[in-house]
Amino acid sequence: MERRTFIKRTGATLAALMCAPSIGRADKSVVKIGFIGPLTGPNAALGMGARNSADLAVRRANARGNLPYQLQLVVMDDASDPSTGVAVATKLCTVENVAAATAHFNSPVALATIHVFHRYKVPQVMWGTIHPDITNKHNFPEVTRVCATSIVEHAELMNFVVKERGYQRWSVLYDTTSYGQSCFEAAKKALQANGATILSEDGVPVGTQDFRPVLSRLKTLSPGPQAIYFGGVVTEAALLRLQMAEIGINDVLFTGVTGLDSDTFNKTAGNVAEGTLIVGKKAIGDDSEFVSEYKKAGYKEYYEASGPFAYDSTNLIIAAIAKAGPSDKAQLAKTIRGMDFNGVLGPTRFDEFGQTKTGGLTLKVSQAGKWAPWQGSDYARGARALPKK
Amino acid sequence: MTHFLEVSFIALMLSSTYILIAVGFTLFFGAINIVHFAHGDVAMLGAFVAIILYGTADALGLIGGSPIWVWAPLLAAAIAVATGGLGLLFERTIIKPFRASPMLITLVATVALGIIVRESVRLFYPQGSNPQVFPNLFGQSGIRLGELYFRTGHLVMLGLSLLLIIAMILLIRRTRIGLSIRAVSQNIEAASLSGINPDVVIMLTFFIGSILAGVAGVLIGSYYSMIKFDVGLMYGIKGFSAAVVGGLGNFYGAILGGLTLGVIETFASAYVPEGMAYKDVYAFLIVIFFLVFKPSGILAEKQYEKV
Repeated sequence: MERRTFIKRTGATLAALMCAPSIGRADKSVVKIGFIGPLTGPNAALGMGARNSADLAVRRANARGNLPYQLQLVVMDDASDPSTGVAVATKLCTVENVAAATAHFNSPVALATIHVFHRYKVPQVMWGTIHPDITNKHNFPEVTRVCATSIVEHAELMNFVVKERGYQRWSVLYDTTSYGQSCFEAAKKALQANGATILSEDGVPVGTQDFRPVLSRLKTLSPGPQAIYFGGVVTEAALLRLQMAEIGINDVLFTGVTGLDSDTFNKTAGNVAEGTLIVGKKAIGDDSEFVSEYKKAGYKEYYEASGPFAYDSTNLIIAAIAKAGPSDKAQLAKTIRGMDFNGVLGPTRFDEFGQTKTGGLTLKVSQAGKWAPWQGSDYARGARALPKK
Repeated sequence: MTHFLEVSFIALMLSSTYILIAVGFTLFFGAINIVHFAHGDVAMLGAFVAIILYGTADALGLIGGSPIWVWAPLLAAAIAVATGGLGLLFERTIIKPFRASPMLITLVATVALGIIVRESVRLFYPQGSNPQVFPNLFGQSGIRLGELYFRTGHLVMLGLSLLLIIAMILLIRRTRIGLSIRAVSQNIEAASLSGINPDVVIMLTFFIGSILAGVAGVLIGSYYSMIKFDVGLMYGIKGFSAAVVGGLGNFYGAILGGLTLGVIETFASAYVPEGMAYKDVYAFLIVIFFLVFKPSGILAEKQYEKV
């Protein structure tokens, strides 16, 4: 029965989507903006939150009606897979002929598609990837990014945890994807810059379930680690945290960066998630205009940590189109890079690599099963305590 | 020493999941010479069935309302029947129609079945893409032996797996059912001439094999406190490899193969520098080693069958 309702609902949504282009006013020409994110696969929840947020930006721009065009969001699914990403990026640039696109949660996918967007000279604003090479390595004029790189994320994390809170002895684990590797390198650099000692380094393949052999070894270290860092994403992080508790590594701080910033981590790790410290995506207050508009629009999925970034990147594209027009792509790319934009994340301005200079990050702590901004948390007030050193 | 004992226990837990899955591969191969590549996904289904049935029993008030030794065996029986039934359903619909076809056809069909099972769980289970929390039946309780600490839940699951493996040995060696299974795997025509209905025996093999995979799934779920839709693929490949290393078709071989893979993976992760990153490489190097130098596996295939 439930499945039947599901099919009915999906059918209805599809029908609505197919009708959508015809709703627009006929006297305006249509300008397309592309969206790519993981709508299926392991990161689907984050991708759908981002898709809805980008959709909200386009809907609101159309509702305001002060542009001489009707905007249309063309949504594509990269399934967190580089080859799928390249295929849909090519489709956006050729068949759909989008003016610009906002794209990707996964760094490996972005590392593959920047070449496609560069070849077709289509501006691409990244809403969720953090690998430094995406902007720095080739410095394609089409590529910009509204979220922080792993270097910035780790500098901020370690500056707080090592320098301010004084955790000196570290064990580092990371997954062996290009995302995990870039996190590991940035974490190592930031730890060394702050004078911390790294006791162990262990890479783990994605899909690893058993961290116990390594954790058992960490227990034999003397003196043992005061903090454990994990460079990876939610599932492995939750397993690692659960097994730390099971094997008896207590009173050790667990940390990570934005890869852990989903409440799936808190839900899956349960009680032991408490006191985990991360640098997460900027927390948006529930009273912000974005949140109230998102709720009003009635999307089924939560906007997730990535929503505000996709919302800002889409609005940034819309503002640039309003300024430079949609047809001259090189001019549009140049305009995007030169934007002085104010959005839900605050101001966004790009450096010479197209990388945002402003953070978009918030220090968060797992408190009572949720990611809470450090400022104002029970931990900052002293009502709860992080693990002893 | 404590570290060594702890790692040995971890290896034993991992090995028993591999063994439970490998036994299925070996039973199916022994009975009708097929490789059932969705068998790892049956294990995953077992864990999901357990979550659903546990949730239902909890909602009906069975779990809070009666002591654990009343509801736990009932729940276990329900999970076993449901998972065994699913395995049987797959045999009837996907494997049986290809029984006369070359082995490769069944192989492709079961690979496809595995993909369908995984994707169905992902699409139709609520929030199916995310890892699902597995109910913790035994709480945080445990037993402390010096510096070693064992969770009650883990010990119960390990004990249950060992019991099941011993029960399987007895079933195969000592009972009429076991005799029929052995007879069918030796010579299906001769078996039917002596009054055994091979179809019933094959169905029974799939029912039992799938139950064992379901137990492996529950073991995985409770050992890691979570289950994800895509874990079956990896466990399927590891279980199959374990069966090959031990000698495909040989029941004791599956046990030896599962132990070999589990021990190598765990000890490489714990003792070799960078070992965690390459644990699968070490495990599959062993598989390749056996394929090249002793393709029949540790125990030569079907040693007790060729009279």
